[in-house]
Amino acid sequence: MKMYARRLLLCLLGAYSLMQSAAASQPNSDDMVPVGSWNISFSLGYGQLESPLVDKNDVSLYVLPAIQYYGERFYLDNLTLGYSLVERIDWSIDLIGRPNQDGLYFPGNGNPIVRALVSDIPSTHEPGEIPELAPLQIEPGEKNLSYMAGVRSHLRSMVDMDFYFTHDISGVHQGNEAEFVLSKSFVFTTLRGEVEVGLNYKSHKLTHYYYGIDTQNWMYGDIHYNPKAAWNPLIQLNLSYPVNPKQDVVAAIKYQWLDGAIHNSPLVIKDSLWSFYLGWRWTL
Amino acid sequence: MDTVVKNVMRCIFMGLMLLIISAGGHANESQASIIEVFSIRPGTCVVNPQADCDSNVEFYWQLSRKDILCIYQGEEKEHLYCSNESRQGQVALSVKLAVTTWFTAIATKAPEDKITKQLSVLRVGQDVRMLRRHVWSIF
Repeated sequence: MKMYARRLLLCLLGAYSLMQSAAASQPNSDDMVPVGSWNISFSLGYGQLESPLVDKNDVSLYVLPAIQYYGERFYLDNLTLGYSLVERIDWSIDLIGRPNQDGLYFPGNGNPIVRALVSDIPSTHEPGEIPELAPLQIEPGEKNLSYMAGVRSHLRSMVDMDFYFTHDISGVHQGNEAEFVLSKSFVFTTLRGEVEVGLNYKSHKLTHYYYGIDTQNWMYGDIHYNPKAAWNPLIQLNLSYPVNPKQDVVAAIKYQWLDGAIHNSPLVIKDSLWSFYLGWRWTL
Repeated sequence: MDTVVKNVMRCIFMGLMLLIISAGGHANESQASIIEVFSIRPGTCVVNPQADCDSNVEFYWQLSRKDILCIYQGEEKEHLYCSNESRQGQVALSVKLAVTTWFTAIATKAPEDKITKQLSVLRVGQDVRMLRRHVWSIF
C-alpha cells in the first residue's frame, strides 16, 4: 500500500508541475473575499458520512450550517481555524487547527477504553488468531474525538495544491495526520465545480488509537491488532448551481479508499468509504 | 372682444409652446454628452502585499461625433494617451499603480465634458483574502 501511495503521490506532483506552467496571474473574483467579511449559510438536504465500522452507524446529514470569516490573518472556515503566516495571490502558509474525523465514527466520548464485543463468530480461525484479512469483527467501543493542529500550505494555479500536516494537541492519541490534495475548479455555464484528488496519511499512533485492539474477550481470549500508519487515497467532486445570488443547489461526493492498516482491523468492515450530500443552500 | 381674447389666448399658448420647446432644448443640451461610452478593463487589480499593480489596461470609448479623446491618469496634467479624431476607439496601455486610481477621458472639443472610471488596486491580506476552497463542500 505504501508503494502504491508513493507512486500516486509522485504522479500527482508530476501532473501538478506540468499544469503549474500555465498558471493565470489574476485570480477569479469568486476565489477571494473582502478582509473582515463574514459568510454564514445553511443547507437543507440529505447526505451521509459512511462509517467504516462494524456496527455501521452511518452519520446522516440533513441541515448543515456553514460559517466563514476571513480577517487580516485569522480565518475560520467551518471547523478549520487558521492563521496565515504568509499569504500571496498564488500561495499561502497557515497555522491551522481542525478536528480529526475518525473520532466521529465511534460512539460516545470520554472513555478511551475499547469495549470490544463479539458480533460475528469466525469458523476457520483459532481463538486469538488475527489473520491478515480478518473476518473477525468486533463492535467498536467509545473513543474520544481528537483535535489536530499544524501547518498548511496552499498553492493556487490552474490546478491548486493543498497540503497540511497536523499533530494531535488534545492528548488523545498523540498521532499525526497529513493530507495532500490537488484540485481543479471549472465553470460550465452557471454551474461551478471542483474535482479533488488526494492522499491522506494517518500515523501509527492515530490508527492504533482508533482502529487498534488490545483487549481480552471471553470467546477469543487475547485479541491484539496493532495497525501501522495508513495511506488513504481520495477523490471528491463539489458542485454549486446558483439559483439567485443568495441561494444555490450544492452537492458534494467523496470516495476514499482505506489502507489495509485500517480495513484489516476487526473493528472495520469497509475497505472504502462513500460520503455525499445534496442540498439547497441559503446564504445570509 | 372675442377677437382680443382669442389673440391673447393664442399668444399665451404660443408662449407656453416656445417655453416648453426651449426648456426641452436646454435639457437635451445639458444631458447630451459627447462621450457616450468610456470603459476600462480590468476594473480591479489584485496584488501581493508589497507589490504594485503592473497591468495592461484596455480602454474603450465611443463618441457622439468625431473628436480627439485624451486619457488622463489620476491628478496628472499630462495625458496618458490621445487618440486620432474618430467616433470610437480602443487602446491597451501598460500602467503601474500603487493605489486605486481614476482614469479620466476628455474630448478636446468639449473639455468640460469628461468621464472618469476607477481601477481598484486590492492587496492580498489588506483588502482581500484568498479562499482556500473554490466551491462549497462539507467534506
